[in-house]
Amino acid sequence: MSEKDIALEIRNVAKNYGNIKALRDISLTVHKGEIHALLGENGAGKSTLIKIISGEISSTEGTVVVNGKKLTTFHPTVSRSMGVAVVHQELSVFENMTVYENIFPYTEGKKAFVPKKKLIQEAQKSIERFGLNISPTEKVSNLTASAQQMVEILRALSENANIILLDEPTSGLNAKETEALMRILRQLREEGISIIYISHRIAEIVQISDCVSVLRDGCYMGTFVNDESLTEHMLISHMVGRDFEKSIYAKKVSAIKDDTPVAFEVQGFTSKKGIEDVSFSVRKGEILGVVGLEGSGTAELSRMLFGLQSREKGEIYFEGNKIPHINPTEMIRHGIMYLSNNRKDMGLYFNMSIMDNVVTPSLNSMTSGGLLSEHKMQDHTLEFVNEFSIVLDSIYDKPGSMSGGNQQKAMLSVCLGVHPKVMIINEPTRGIDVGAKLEILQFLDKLAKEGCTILCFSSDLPEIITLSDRVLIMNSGKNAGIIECDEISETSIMHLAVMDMKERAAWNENS
Amino acid sequence: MKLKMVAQKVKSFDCFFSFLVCVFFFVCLAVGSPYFFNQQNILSLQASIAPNTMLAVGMMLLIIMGMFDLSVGSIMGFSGIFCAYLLTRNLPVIVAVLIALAAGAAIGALNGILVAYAGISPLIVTIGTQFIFRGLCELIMTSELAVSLTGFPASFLEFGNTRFLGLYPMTWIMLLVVIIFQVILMKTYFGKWFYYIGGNKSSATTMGFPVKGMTFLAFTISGLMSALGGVMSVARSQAASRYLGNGIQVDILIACVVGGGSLLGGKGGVAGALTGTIFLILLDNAFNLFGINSLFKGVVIGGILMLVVAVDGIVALRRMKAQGKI
Repeated sequence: MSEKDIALEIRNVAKNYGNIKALRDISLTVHKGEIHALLGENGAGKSTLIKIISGEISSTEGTVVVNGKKLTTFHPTVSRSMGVAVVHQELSVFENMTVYENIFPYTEGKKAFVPKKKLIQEAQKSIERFGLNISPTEKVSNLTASAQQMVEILRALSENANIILLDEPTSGLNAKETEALMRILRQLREEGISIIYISHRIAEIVQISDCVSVLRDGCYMGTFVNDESLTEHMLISHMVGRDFEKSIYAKKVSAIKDDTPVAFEVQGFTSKKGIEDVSFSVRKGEILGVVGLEGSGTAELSRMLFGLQSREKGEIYFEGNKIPHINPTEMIRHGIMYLSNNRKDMGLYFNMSIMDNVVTPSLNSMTSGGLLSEHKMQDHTLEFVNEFSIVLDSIYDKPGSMSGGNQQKAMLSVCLGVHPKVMIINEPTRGIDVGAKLEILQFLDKLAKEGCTILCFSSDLPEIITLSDRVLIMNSGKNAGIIECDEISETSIMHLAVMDMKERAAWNENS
Repeated sequence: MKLKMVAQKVKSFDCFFSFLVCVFFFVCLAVGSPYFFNQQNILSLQASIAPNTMLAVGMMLLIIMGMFDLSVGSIMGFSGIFCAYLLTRNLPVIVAVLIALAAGAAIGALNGILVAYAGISPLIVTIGTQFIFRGLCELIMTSELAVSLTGFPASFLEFGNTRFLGLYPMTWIMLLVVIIFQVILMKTYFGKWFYYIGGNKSSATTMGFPVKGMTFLAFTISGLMSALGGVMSVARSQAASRYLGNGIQVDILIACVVGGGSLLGGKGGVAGALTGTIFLILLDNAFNLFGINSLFKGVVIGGILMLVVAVDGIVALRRMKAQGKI
């Protein structure tokens, strides 16, 4: 193909956040009239790449060439003026505004006044094109979540862009809406518009894309032309395929006996949006990994389990007894602790000292004569500091003075202060270095051997494989299956996580 | 059919509730009190509605963007006193007024810079400017300078006290300002930016709207409007007062919330700023005309505010629950 056919060229793009390399040396080319899929696990760098192209963040190295012109400044307005439209992964509609105002938020040229009648008509046209039943003058806050997402897609499609970036556009859509979107995308391709398409639904990608670029851990793994030879299994093997022999991770050998009593049982968890009838049980001293790609409902499930988010149906049984009210206070009273994935916003108190943080849940036992005893609090904190070998100058420093790994250890100490029987842990090693990571994994393993039951929600597959006795995989808000220890592998997990239920049944029969 | 559409449209305005309440109060007062249509009463109503609405217009723009300005009362006072100072220094009236307005806009711009570009919360910033400029008002009005702040040029007094078609010039200005801003908000892309930013600030940023610039601008307009209110008040009362605009910021905030604004941002309109202000002033008038102990006023205003905010909150909660967001 000639130069003229190239819509977007990414040359040696890298993005660093401090020491963390989110993208390394990515180069890929998108031609005109092409649907180009980006595929990769959570955190592989797809959204980062999208944000660089759409001008929301700047690249650390490398160049982006849009329609033959190099992007010199990274700003949303600049990218848009060069013909790039984007649908973000997170819903970013304006709920206080009407549908047509959401579809046409931008000025046409230098026009000051909003041509309301014309916009309403055009909005109506693009709504009809999708066969939707939305009124252009309806307030977006009155729409269902999937209709809101359609509105956002309509916005991107209405910008007359020739490069459209779609980051997980179908995560909130039903089958009919997805089909309509696919039809429109094919139509746009005929018109010579290039589409970059991110989805976790691998079947969708194979169905619609012309070629697929795979990212893994911020690296470019190659672009594959979607001819008849391309299969879902090939793509999965490119997405995973880490070399375990050489890595720090060792695959776990489960030592949980079959007759171990069930400690924690979840039945029929259902939420209004997303989670559908999830049930599972965990035995005492077992580590259950919970994995799912973004939008599969893992984050929601973990919050629901601790009563941080409301649910429509579902019970939790702890050591055989039903927990009557699922809220954080009640759960902690039962000895069930929750570790958030976000140290900054939902974990530590960053304006209090490390000691104050560590003693938080155990303050009752820190008193002498009704007053808090400095001695007891120091001893309690130092105990954990030694146990975890937390590196710090003084326990009177603020948590912000420690490295991420040590902060994570401090967060674990907070939970362990009350000797929990069950721990719901989210992303225990996110954003910390390898050494601290191993220490934390070993510690969790030891904790489980001592009889603590652990539910580990993580998007880090190697970590899940090292840690888990069994793995629960979420897919589209449902429990897609539980893999027993000896069958856990990146491939087996990915298959459950990315393929839809029907196809999987077919695949199982074949293999 | 056409009529039904019009009815739906009217109902969809954010200020619909406050408009109804205003009409209700108006009818009550007109029927209940023989003094309501008394010329003196109508004039005194205008003299409080016009300046207060100016402040409310500026406040409403900020409220739509999810912010607020507690320094409006102090800017009103300071600009009014500053205007009185300039007028008594033999400056031409128009120049004195423009300088006073510019001073108010500059204070607003200071608020805007600190909020938009230094990232400080509007609460802290505007409490700061509120105290600074209230303090300056007190200093000036308790100094020897205060004595000299009387005897304004005749044309300035005329601006405050002549009538055109039964209304003061300031009332006409107010109507003009409200209409201009309402048209901007409803009909222009620039006006819609206030709502986009107030509705979803992070989306507005990623979509390339000038969030910081608009924040700065809204605070500047609020300062300018407060100064205009101050000048109006001075023109009407023919004197600068130490208490000009003292404590008024809470009334203005309440007027905006009753008038359909939400402190969460994304909704409201300057028509609501007008109806909200009229509501508060009619309420005040009712206490006077019916001879009710004015100490009850606070209780009633507070109660109405709680009611409006509670209904707003319950509706929002219900919707979020229905959509499975909490």
